[in-house]
Amino acid sequence: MQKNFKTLFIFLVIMSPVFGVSAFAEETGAGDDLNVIEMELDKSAPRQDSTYVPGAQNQKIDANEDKLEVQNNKLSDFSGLGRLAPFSEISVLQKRFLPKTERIQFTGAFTTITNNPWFLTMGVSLKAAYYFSEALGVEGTYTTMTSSQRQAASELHTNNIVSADSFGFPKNYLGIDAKYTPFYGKMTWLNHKIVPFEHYFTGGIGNTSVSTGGSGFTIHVGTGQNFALSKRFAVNWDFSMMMYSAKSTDGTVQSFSDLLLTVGMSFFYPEAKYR
Amino acid sequence: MLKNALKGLGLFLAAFLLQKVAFAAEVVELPQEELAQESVYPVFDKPASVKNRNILTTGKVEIGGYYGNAMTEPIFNVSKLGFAAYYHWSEEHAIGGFFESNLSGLSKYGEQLKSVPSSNGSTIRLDFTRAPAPQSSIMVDYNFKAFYGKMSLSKSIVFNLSTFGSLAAGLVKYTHKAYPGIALGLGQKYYMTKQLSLRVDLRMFMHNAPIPFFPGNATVSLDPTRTAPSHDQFDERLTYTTNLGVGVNYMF
Repeated sequence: MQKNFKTLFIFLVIMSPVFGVSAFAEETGAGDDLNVIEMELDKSAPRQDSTYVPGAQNQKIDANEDKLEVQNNKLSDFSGLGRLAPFSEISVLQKRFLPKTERIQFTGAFTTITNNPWFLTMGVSLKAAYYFSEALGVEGTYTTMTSSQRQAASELHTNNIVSADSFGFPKNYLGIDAKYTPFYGKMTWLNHKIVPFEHYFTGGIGNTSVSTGGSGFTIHVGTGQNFALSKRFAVNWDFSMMMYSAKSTDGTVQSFSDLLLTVGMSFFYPEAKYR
Repeated sequence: MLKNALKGLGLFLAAFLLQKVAFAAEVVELPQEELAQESVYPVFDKPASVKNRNILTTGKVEIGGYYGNAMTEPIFNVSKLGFAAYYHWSEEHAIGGFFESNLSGLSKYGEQLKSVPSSNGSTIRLDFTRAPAPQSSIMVDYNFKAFYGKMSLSKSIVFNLSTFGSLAAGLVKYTHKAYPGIALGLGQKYYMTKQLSLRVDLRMFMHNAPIPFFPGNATVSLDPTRTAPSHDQFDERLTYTTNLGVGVNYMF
């Protein structure tokens, strides 16, 4: 019996350091878990020092308490209150599905003039826009168009021997616009699918070449909507007016105002910065 | 017995020691760029995107007035004034009608053609007030309100909008006779309040119409110095006219 007690005593003596190490592993494992959580909450926190400080780990319950003087267990330093986020950054709206800030929007679109009764004018529009913020951007546009006579122009020429060419139509437009996007919204298709969209206004200047041979300084104003398909692609429509003066075939200066309807697709580059 | 007890104690202590090693926690650190940067929505069967509409139209009547512009009308005054009324039998469908009256006079092109050089160098005088002009239109109109949504002007101002397709059929009246016609279009309504909305319509009117470009003959002509033709002497053809209408509607 005495021999058995001796055996048991030796066993306990050998095992006691092992018990101490395992307890250390458990406590540091729990401490590491808490530290990982704290690092996720406060991404600016430095990497956890592996030095074990007995008793201190159990006091780090919440990441916010790191900012206070926990060791002294009293709140004396309120300087952190001056670094709180200002209320202007608080928004009650969800973040935009298709962020545009510091991205370039490339658009390819089909365009047609909707208010020319003599010529059916259609063409292609290429646009590139850069957004300084979600609301403000600048856009360059190049539009090239071709046209064919409508029946009214053919009948005027056939029946009354008057050529409608003197009325003229635009051939090319090159301009730059400021783009303002005050509206952001969402639409549903028959209550099944949500489509985020934006409504914008544009205003700018450019130059229009006319079929009569002249060209003129152009004032360009418009409005349109972008419907987001993904974080990179959008479908859009645009309704804009070009106002310009140019020489007609008889040498006189005519004023033109063309309403363009443009439907196209956009690609955004680079990748969006997510919050 | 004591020996067995000691053996049991030894086994217990060994098991106690080993379970700490077997279930030791590990901290796995992942690189930041591999963590998810955005959330994705789960896919449900038959999702209902709109739970509670702010603007309810079912069973309501809507009336309004608008200004119309016949953008591809070559000769006559392009301006119209109209009145419309609709009944919404569901959130997606509405039926109603509109009446619009054309303003009298000529367009800027019609005014220019009063005296214009011809293709052979001579001066042509064309008085298109002698041609039959459109006077009014009355049509039954069906609206398919496929899109409903909301738009924010600022962080505190939100208003609703609806995008719809329209199909109308009715009569277009000219000076001497009326022609059946149809109008196909798209529109949007922006709701300022639950009753008041701004409506924009883009329609394509298709109907037979008299051709104002009368060729003239030995007896009658558009020339103001000669005898005017009667309205039934003008030929007719299928005419396409693009119209843009902007107006205000009130729903009750």
